[in-house]
Amino acid sequence: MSCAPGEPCEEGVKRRRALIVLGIMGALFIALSAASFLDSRNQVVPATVSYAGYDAIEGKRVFQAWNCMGCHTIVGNGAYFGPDLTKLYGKVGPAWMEAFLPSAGAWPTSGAVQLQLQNAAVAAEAGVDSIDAYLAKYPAAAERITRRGAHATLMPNLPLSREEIGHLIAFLKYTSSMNTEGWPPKPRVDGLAFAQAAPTSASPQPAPIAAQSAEPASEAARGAAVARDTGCTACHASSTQRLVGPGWGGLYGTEVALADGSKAPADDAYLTESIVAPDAKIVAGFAPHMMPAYGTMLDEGEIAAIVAYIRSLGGEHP
Amino acid sequence: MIRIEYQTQRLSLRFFMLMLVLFFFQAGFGLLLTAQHIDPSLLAGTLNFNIVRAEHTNLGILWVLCGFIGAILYVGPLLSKRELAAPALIKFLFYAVIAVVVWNVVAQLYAQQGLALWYMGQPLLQEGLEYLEGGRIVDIVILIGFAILCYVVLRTFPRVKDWNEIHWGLGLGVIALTFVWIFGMFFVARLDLQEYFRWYVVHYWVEGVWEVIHISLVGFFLVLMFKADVKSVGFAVFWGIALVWLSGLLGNAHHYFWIGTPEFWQFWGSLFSALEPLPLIFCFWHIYLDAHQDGKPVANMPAFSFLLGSVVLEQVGAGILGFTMTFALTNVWSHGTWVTLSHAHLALFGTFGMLGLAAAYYTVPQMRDLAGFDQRPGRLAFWLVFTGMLGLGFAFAIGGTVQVFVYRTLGLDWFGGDVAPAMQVAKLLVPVFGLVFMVGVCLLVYDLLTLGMRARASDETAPAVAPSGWRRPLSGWETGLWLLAMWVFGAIITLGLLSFNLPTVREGSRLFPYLMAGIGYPGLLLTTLLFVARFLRSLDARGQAATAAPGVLLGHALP
Amino acid sequence: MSRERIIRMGVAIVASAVSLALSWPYWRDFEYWPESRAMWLAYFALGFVLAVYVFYAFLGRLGTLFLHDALERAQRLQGAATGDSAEEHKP
Repeated sequence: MSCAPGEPCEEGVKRRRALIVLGIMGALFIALSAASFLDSRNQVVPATVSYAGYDAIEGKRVFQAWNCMGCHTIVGNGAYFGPDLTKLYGKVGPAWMEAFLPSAGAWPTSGAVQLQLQNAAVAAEAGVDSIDAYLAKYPAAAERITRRGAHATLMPNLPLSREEIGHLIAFLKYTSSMNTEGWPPKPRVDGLAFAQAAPTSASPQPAPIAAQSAEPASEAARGAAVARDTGCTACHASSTQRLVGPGWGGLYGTEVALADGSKAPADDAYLTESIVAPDAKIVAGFAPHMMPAYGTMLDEGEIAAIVAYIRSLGGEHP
Repeated sequence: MIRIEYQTQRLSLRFFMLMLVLFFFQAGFGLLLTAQHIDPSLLAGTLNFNIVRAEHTNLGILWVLCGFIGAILYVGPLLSKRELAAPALIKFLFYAVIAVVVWNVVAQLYAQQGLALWYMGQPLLQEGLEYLEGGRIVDIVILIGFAILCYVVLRTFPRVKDWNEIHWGLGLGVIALTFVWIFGMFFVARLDLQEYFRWYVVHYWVEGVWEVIHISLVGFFLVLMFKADVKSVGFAVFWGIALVWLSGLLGNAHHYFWIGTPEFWQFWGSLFSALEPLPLIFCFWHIYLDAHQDGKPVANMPAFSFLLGSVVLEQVGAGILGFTMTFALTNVWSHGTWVTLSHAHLALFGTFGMLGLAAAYYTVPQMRDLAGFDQRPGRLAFWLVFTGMLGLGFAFAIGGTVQVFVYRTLGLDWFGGDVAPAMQVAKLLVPVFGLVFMVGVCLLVYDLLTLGMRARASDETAPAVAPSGWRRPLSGWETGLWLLAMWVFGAIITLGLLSFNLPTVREGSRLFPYLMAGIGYPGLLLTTLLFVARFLRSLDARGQAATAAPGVLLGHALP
Repeated sequence: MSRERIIRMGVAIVASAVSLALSWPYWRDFEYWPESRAMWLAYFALGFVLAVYVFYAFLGRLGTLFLHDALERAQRLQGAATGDSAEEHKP
């Protein structure tokens, strides 16, 4: 039954007409889809993007394997728990991401970003090699360092490997250069001027180290300040807790089991070497190439101060 | 009472029971997510948010599928007037579903170690794509499961020339269920192309194909419950499905606005998804008319409540809330925020989840050979989950509006420092309504699992009173006014989202969007709540008027 | 009957025009050849015609839905008057 009695029943015609229109729509959809992925559209493809020798397609595999979309969004799709990652690379630049990803539980400090710039490949990708030029080029990185530096994040420390971090940054470099047709909309105001923005705390940026050394505080206290400012504490806890690297608490003087099966005493020489050339001795259970070499960034006095700080955190004094 | 006519219909019972268990765990994971939103350090490193969320979305899809399978197995023999073909395959399918669920729940945990087990370019364990988190192994097993369902349904159905519209809807539905699933089974290197195909599964599969099955099943349950005329239901089923595809085929483009595809999609997606509520309005009137065809009391109120809830939440969640954020001009703001969550929860649970629950309430008493059952727990459970879900929709929508303003308009992107604290009130509201929902889920699961196994409480009914006030019969005009009120609030929400484009708002005034959201969302959700209350009360009054007359049937057999 | 159709067509045209206005992509940049001015005109025209069809079909079918209801109601009353049960509906 589809029409009133006594009237011509056109139901069959109407249904056929609906199916024909549906067919037209299907053809249109296929045509539009084909036009969406033509080369002439000039959309960036991951096969053409690499970052410091790392591969964007591999990066997409890393992105999926860790289910990043389960907390973040990418092109706006995902879980709304963390910020959208699509344009992040273009905003904060490679050195900030290099500093962030190995120890995602804490926000990078200026020292941590500066350290990444010592790496020629990262500096080349960033297009600058001094921290001041970097912060001028990537104001979002500067804002993050000032407001969040050394604070804890809401993200867990993920045990990403050195390769995974490189690929992941390559993938985000690719998404950052994608044409997303004007999304997300660019804010017209400086959000920091509004009450919704958390007040910037003054504490995470302590006075420059040079000023402190004039007033000879204890060597260990100076070391603690250097360690915080350089970003060491993003990965190393002052307790025995494992963050990204081994905890410093109770470390000094113990016998450290190394990845190659041997043992080494955690004395001044060992700690100094671990700061200057971290890959010389890898502690059992940790991945190599995770920690950058700090020899070029810290002077001998600063390294000695950090060692003194670690010594002060307890352990078996020889 | 009606008896089970075909013994193989009883095979649906186990799928409904499995559905209830999965539903319970899915809601539990959801509650855990709300706790992690408030304290992100909760279980961090042990059970990270992304793992819990993957379990939550995947179990959500799996229990809805269990409900579909159960309902299809129940109606299959009735539609074919013969037993199901290959019941052994159905029994196998049941164990396969359990295996898939257990495997997938465990496999998702490996995202915490970044382990996807890549083999020949494909992730075997899990693949970290929203809604399609399952790895290739589980994808293939699910594909085989759909193929089995397809085979059983098509072998059971009569010859194609004897098919009516419900046969066509279910037949094409199960074929497409199998076929469209395949689009989610490849690793795609390009992000734009991967998102393009991901939405084939999430939109065409969930919205398109599930909707076809949904309309067919709602139609057939109306035939069963109200003895509606099969031919006129067939008409409604055909045009319901036709309108879904006439609007939704190009309407899918609303997912292609910002994923890197060209901007012409913004026009096509906006225009055609503006039409997507039409089939839902059509379906809404269909259920109203059929429920009022004969003035007889509704024998199984819990089943009808969930069926009505399904169609009404489809109207509100998918239709109205979907409409508000489907235009490129509103979606540019709502995209990637909690505003989407509000729509997704109401639409997915409402439309598909409630249909499975309706089918369970309709069929379980029959399969347990009960002459009648205590309907009060079922009705209370309906109100708890219905209110809880509307409340969740409200909390997500308000949180989303704040998020759009802080995150997009002001451009503050520190979630821990700026965005999450601004959304704090909404974040606290979510578990409040989540708990209401969870209590409803527990009651529902307990009631359906033990239906007929506990002593029946005395089924006293209130004394018959003259149907007046909220109990008087619901006229078509009044229904129209309710629907109009919902759409007026929907229009207010749309204007609120549009207002983010205004220069004053872009310069930092939040007054207009907050005001419109503050009126629109509570207005829409309260109207929905009151309308369903009004609808069900008017049907109750029929039941009481008829209690004097003996021989009230539990359900109606297919003529 | 034809008056009804004209009203439906009118409503469908107005509704499609409103939808089109809400969907108007004022940010067009004409950069890509499928987004040239001529193609956009074609999109608007084709989109409008298809939308009018969908609205028109919806309104017509919704009318039929109510017509069916009225017919069935009349049949039922007739059935009750002649003493037949409602079971007589042919599946």
